[in-house]
Amino acid sequence: MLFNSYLYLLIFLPLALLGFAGFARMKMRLGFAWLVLMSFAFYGVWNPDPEHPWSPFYIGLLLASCVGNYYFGRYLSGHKHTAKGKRILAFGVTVNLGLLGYYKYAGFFAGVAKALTGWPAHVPSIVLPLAISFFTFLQIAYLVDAFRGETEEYHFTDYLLFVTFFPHLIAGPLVHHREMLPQFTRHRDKVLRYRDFSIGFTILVLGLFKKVVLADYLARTSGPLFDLAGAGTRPLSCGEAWAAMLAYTLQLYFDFSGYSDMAIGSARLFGIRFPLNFHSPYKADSVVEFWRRWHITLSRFLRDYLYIPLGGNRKGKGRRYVNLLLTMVLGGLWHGAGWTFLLWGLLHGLYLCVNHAWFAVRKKRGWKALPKPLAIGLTFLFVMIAWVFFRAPTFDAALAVLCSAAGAHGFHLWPAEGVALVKDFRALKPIVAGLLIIWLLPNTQQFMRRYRPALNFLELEGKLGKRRWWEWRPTPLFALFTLALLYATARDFDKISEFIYFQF
Amino acid sequence: MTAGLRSTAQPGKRYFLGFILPVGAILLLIAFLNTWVNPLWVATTPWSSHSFDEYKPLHKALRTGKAGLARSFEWDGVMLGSSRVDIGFDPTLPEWSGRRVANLALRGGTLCEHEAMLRFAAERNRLEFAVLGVDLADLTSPNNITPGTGFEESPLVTSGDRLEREIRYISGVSTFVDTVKCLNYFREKRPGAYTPQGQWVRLLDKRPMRKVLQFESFKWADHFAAQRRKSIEVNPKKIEALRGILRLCREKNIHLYLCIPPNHAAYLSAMRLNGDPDPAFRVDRSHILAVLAEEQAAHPGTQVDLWDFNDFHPLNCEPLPAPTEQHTYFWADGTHALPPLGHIMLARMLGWPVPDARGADYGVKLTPGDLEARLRQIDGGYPRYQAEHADDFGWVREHLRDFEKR
Repeated sequence: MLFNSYLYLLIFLPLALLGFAGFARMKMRLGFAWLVLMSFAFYGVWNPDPEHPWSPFYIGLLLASCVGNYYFGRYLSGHKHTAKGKRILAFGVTVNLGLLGYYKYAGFFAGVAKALTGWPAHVPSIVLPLAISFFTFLQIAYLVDAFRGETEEYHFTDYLLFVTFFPHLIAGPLVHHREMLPQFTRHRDKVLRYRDFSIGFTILVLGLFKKVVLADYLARTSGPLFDLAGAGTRPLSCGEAWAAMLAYTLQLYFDFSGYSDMAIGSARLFGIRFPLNFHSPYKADSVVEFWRRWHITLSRFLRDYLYIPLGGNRKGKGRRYVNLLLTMVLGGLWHGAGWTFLLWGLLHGLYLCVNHAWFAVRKKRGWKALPKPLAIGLTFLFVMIAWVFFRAPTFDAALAVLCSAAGAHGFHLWPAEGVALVKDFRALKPIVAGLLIIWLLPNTQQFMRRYRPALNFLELEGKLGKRRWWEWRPTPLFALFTLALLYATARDFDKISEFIYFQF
Repeated sequence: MTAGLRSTAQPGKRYFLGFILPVGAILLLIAFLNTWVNPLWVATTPWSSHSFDEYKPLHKALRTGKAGLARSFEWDGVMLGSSRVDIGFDPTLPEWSGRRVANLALRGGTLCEHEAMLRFAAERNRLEFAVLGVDLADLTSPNNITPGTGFEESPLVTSGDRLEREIRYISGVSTFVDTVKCLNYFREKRPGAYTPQGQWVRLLDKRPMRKVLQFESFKWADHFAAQRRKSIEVNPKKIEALRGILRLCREKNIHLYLCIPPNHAAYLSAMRLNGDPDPAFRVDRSHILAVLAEEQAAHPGTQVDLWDFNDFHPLNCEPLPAPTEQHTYFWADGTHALPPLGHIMLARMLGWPVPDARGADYGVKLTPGDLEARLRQIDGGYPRYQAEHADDFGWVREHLRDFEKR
């Protein structure tokens, strides 16, 4: 089910809220059970092959994964730091990764093997269960922490809700049991609150606006131009290549951060706070900083459960760079089984290595940092180049876009009318608007900062400080502002489109 | 929803009660208006009003609107095809003798869409008959469903999220835009483009026929001829759609009247002047006949006649109007016949008395055995048109040259 659908906004969400309010007044855990049920319904609506009847298989898979991991976790918390526990942990993690590997990578590796050796003759076509990357990762974290002794004896309903709670189930944020499960136990005295409702609704509207108005408008530029590069009918002009790169860079941000806002807003309606997932990543002045602001919950997971266990920066400089590269390559592959994703991860790994090396040289020689606007611009440029590999259908298509942008086919800005896929002004308008928004305006969390919209917001922002005029408050003026966003969203709402991160 | 809400902060409560709750109320009001006005026939409820039937803006979302029409009433017969059928075939003629007939033709529609529409209508009605107009060049066009026509948003589409679509018809913003349009039409007492039976009778092209020929039809004739000069290949999906229509009619016992709608001789001349490699459309005609023959061979007793109106018959050679005049008696423009000609076509196909003596020999029942003779007859009509309507032909040639220069 899509957040930007009538089914979600007008039927599912009100029903979930009403049921929760009703059941939770009887007993809070009944309310949670209702949310679990609704979450399975939310997940179960998905039919991977609409040509065939709907199958309960994928709900069964999700449920089996939850039950299995819950009991693994319980066992591990009873055998923390023991050899037996370690073996069980290894087994549990292997089963989880095996499941993910089978569904997500078997086809890819079979394809690679076939290309190299001619075997297997038939490359299987395996349907990737929705959200498997997300629910696998957050449960692996739970198992590792159970072994480390960092979990408690959670109630099964609470655990199920932690994994399946519909606002984060499909595409994150990658929540952590330590930040979610205590909220469920603390939740006892509150059913639904006006304050949470007002905040959640506003964040939800902001997310809808980002997705429906901004991201989808930008997609009308990036989509046809990347498709053209993929088809190879004609080379992109220099201007088109830059427009494609800029539009996609902005589209991806508004799409995914819009989705995260909708998730955070939806959860807040129930009084649940999610961790922050985006914090103006294109305002980052280095790639290291970029990864502290982009898909924060995934970066956190990769750091805590991959980079640090690999040795992090504790085993010397050389090893640190290897660990960085490996973490980012695997992060790239997590997004999709394909060479372009791998290359995207590798590029970011290299960026991080160079960035850390630059910090070290600067520190050693006492050089000043680059002027902030230049640093931000350079970071944006390199991140944008990497996104080309993330978006392009093939490696050749990515190279074609980059070559055109570099002027390999001349520095002609825009093709003549009749040849151009997108009119120049139509392409330029949303790009300029998008750049102004990402660089000049506060982000959703800053806009809502007085009301602690996300869990780890203050860690990134520091103290709340003085109230600024543009910070949201439940006043008529901000109601008008929200209404304006709602109106703009409504105008474009019927052009339904999926979220980019649903495919991961 | 308020029952479970506790006020822990006054401003939050005020915001909820003063803003969010009214937004919810507005959404409910929109849903009520959409279902009351029912602008595209897809949000029918017990409280939907029939006062708006004449004012529905079907032209804004034709595929949705026609599908809505198909499921809103009980029909005995339906008429399918492109805008040629949409304009020309009147479902309210007295000759229907009380049978409830809907014009479910789709502007710019293809055989694949006609099949989807017939399937949709047949699933919801006990149809006695269907009239289908197959455009020449549809079989050889690579477009199965033309993008941007609204098919994907209509109930005709079988893939996608059906529930989401139905909610959109009731509470959707796009439906509400159509509701407002319908209310405006109603307030101004200005009927919509389509009748409640689905015929396109108003808001036709307001330009004079010659202007439409000059600026629209000749452009398309040039485009088609250029495409066809590259290759004329039959699209297998279209053949499959035609087979599907025949199969459905056989299985559901629906009498099918099949025809090739006419074009005006000025348009036919433009195709020839542009050097169309198959100006008599041998490929299209022979393939339609082949599918019919194949069906009849497999299921003897299921005779489907193919009526062919696309030639240089005098009714199709009606003199072009004076430059300032809107259209002729029979023709709206080069590709769209008006209801008087549609009436003659229906009369010829359904065996009614022909309403105009000039149409007594209009159209032929085409069979595989007659195809060659028919093609010769069409080819022979071209020089006759040039000779008998020299001024009109000269005008076509002149403006076609203008267009080529542009």
